[in-house]
Amino acid sequence: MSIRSTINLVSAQARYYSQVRQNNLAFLQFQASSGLKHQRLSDDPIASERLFSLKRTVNSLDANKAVMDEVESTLNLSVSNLTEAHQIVRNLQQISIQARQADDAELPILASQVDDLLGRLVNLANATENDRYQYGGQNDKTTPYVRNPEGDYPPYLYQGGNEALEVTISENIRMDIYRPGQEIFGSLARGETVFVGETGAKPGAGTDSAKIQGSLQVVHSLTSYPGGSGVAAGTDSVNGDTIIGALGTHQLNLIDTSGTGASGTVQLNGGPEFNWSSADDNLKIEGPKGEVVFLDTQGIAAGFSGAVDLVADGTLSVDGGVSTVPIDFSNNQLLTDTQTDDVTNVDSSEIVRVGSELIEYTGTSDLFSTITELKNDLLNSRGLVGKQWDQSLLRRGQDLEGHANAIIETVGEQSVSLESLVGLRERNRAYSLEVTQVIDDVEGADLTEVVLQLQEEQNLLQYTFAVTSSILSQNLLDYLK
Amino acid sequence: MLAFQSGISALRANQAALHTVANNIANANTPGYHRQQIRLTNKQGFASGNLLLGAGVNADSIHRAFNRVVEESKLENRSALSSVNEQLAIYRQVETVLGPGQGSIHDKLNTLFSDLRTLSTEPDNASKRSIFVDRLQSLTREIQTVSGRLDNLEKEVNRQLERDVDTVNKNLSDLFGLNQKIRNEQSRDRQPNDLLDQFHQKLNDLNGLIDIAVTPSEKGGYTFQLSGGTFYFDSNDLRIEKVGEAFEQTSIRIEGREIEVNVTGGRIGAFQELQNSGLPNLRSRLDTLTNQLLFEFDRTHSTGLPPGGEFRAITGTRAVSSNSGPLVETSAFQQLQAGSLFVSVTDNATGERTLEEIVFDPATQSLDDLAAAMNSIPNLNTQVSPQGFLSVFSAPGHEYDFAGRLPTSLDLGGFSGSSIPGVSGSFSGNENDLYTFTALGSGTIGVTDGLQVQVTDQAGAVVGTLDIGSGYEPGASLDFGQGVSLRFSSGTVFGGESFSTPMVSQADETGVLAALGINSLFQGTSPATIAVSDRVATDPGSLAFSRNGLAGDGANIDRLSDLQNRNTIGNLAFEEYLEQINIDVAQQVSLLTTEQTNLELVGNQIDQEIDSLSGVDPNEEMVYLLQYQKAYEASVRVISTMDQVLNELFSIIR
Repeated sequence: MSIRSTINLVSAQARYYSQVRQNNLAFLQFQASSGLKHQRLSDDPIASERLFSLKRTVNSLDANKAVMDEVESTLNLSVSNLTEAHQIVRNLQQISIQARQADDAELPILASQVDDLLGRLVNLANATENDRYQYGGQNDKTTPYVRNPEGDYPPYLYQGGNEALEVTISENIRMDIYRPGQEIFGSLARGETVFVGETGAKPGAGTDSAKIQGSLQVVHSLTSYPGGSGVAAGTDSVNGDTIIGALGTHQLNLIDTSGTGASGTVQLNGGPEFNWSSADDNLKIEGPKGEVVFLDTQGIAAGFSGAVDLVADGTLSVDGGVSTVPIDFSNNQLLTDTQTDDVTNVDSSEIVRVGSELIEYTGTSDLFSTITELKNDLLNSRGLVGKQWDQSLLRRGQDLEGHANAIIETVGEQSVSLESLVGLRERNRAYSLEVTQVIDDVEGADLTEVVLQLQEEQNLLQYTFAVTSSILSQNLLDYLK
Repeated sequence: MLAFQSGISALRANQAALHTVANNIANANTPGYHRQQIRLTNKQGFASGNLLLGAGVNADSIHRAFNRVVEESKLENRSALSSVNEQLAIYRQVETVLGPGQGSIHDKLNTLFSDLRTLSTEPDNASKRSIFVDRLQSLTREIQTVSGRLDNLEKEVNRQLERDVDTVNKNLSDLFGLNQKIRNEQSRDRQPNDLLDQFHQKLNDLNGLIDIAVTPSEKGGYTFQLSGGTFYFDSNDLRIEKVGEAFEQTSIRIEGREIEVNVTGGRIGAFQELQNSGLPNLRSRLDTLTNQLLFEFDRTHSTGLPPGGEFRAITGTRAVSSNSGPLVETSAFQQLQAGSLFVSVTDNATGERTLEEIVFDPATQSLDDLAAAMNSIPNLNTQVSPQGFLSVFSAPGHEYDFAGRLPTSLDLGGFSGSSIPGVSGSFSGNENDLYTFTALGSGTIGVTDGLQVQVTDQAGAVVGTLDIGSGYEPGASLDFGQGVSLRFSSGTVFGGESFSTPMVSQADETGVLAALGINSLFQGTSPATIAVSDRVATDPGSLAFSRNGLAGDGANIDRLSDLQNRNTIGNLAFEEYLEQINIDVAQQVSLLTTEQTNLELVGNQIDQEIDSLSGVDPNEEMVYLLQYQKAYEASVRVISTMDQVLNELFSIIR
């Protein structure tokens, strides 16, 4: 710089530096007033880039928190509802135990209680939150359980979604909020199929698809008498014989006491002796267990005495006789309900008599079917006798135990979700706080520094004015006389 | 009498000197004024006897205190600073327009994604849907606003450029006039200081508009160097012109000569850079962001389902420029690619749903081809308007969708057993696939021991092996992962027989639905035309948040949410891309601010340099004033003394 400076220059410098100082003061005023370090992105592009990332993280964490709050509220409500449902199921279980000791007068009262509890459970299963069904899965706008207009089983039809309504809590973490009702109140794992009856039918080896309850009809079709005894089926045999069995399952002990085929005695399966004559074409005889066959003894070979193995064929039906299947006495016969296409596997190898079997497909009843079964058993609507009734109540109690466990399992899962949610939220909060602090560090103004700088800038401005004034006050004119 | 002559010459010279000082003081604050100094020389003396006597003093010349090198630096600085100032002013406006504050695109995009997260907990909530649509509209309006502001900036820059070109032409004319006068004066061997000051002041002003330099000419006056030394002129007919309008590449040419001038400095240099590069670059990035935003959101939305389920009739919101040309060339979206488009048609009466695959290549196939392919699907019809819009509608009693859901009945082909298989669920894989189900062994479902079915993907990899024999409940669903389950009714299967079905993750691999605006979230194709689709705007219930049509299903919300973190533009997500634009502008502003400060400091130094030489210091002039005053007084005294001497001499005669 040259040593020669003019007033113009002094003036220009004063203007320039006072502008600079004023600008700096204005910026410091912004910092002090807003608490922010930067007014515009261009004040510090590098810090701004970092702030973008940090603020995006905070926004994402805020969104996580909002979702977590909603999920927590929903899960809390659900846990509360299911805990109540669980208690009701436990009450029903108690009733099933109590009923086994109750007298006939108490049973209708217990049935009425069961009905009330069923109503409460249905209400809980149809519980809503903000007009959304809590147990409707993804179909949360449709009432999950509605009365079945066509009968008792199932008493309520599930109309909800099959998939849970899942929500993303945070990256890679998803939670079910609205579980499908059928996962909670639906059937349990399929158990062994139970036949209640005297026909000798047993569950087959295959896996059934029929559910809840059913019946098996074992109907006689033909009894044949192989060998040379000459005995034949009586005229009422087709409809009247009650025996079913492969060759040798049932046996006649035939004695021609006349030696001419005119008369003698006959026993079925070692039961009581019946007299026969060559005039009988429809002789009814009974076995030791009440089994019945009708015989035609007109053609008995003279002098025949001995055992006669019978073959008693029949048919099976699981759809009330709409469709029948000949009994093949195998260990697995596949029977189809033509109305539902459900199949039942039957071990027919030990079927010995006609009749009807009540079938229970254990584990396949939903909670409401189980409760209805309990109510019906309390009223003994199936006409079970003695041990059958007792066993049935026992099974209802076991089923209720299973349903109670299923509910409490869901309560447990949702409680775990809640617990996990609390942890997630705490981590979310802590992380959010941490990032917010970093943001404050990056964008927040250091007020102490601002104040000091403010003072420094004020001083410099004052110096600028003072020095300029001082310089301009020195003028040669003052010395000219 | 010689002493009289000397005194008179001294009086004249000092009077001129005093006049020069007075002129300096008078112009102490005149911009562009250069301090003037008088040059005094002694007059040629003469011999008188053996003496050589002086003849007095001459005011030889008055010259300007002028340093050409420093003055040229000042011109360069002025040109550069002016350019930086203008760029900075515009970029500061851009920074404000695009800034990330409240109500900005960035803020609204972020809010939109946050709302999506909240919606995922309650996809069918009417209030939340309405709010989401409001957010969408707010975002589109902001994009339009920003686009409009950038448009206005570009128009303003163009207007300024036109005005500055006119101003340059006027100033050039003035400058040439001054140059002519200077030349005339110099030809008369006169120093035209005031003209030169006016000339250089005008030149300085001109450099604020365009970078122009001058070199003294041998013929007097100056020659001109416009923009980097490419052209020299010494005429008075030079004019420049702007070629190109707003939103176009602009060039500056010598009028009538088709010669392009590469202007780098001054306001014109700044405006030309902004119009040709800076602002179009920003606009291009905003276009890219908007285009990709529209494409990705619409591609996802178009393959979703509203709570009401499928569609009966939709007319696309985006037209193609030609119905018969390749779609990639006729659509506004270059992202289109070859692939499959899956269409489901549902029979309302039976609930039976088919899944049809259209293989389409937008690089070679047209809208007409697509319409024809869709028309070939049973119970689906299309219509293409002359304006290039596609309408898709179903036959009576049918509905359609593009969600790629699994069909209700499978094409069993050679699968001849009495058992009827079925699949259900929503495929959660990342890419479309074709799954093949092969029976391993023959037997009866639910009965035969060890009976299994193997699931393989298109590449032949085994996805799973499922037991369907003893222990399997006929009709029960077997989950084999990826969200899909398989079931077999009771009956028989035969070993080795198989059937296949497509597993659809991306129902529209091509992107044609988005390009044509079928079931789209948005309409429009650019920042200026972006808007929420009329269907969605008028009925938030038509937001396609589901993948399976159930009210509570928000699978498509999750896919839309995923866009927040997906690298959709190069290796950046939407918000990151927007942030990058902001950061780039901020860095540009920061750089220009630094450059501005530096140029101002350099300018100050140059001004000091110039001032130290050419500035008028009144105190200094006062000293000169005293000096010449004293000299003048002394000269008067000399004359007076000579007068007394002569009076004394003449008194002898008297």
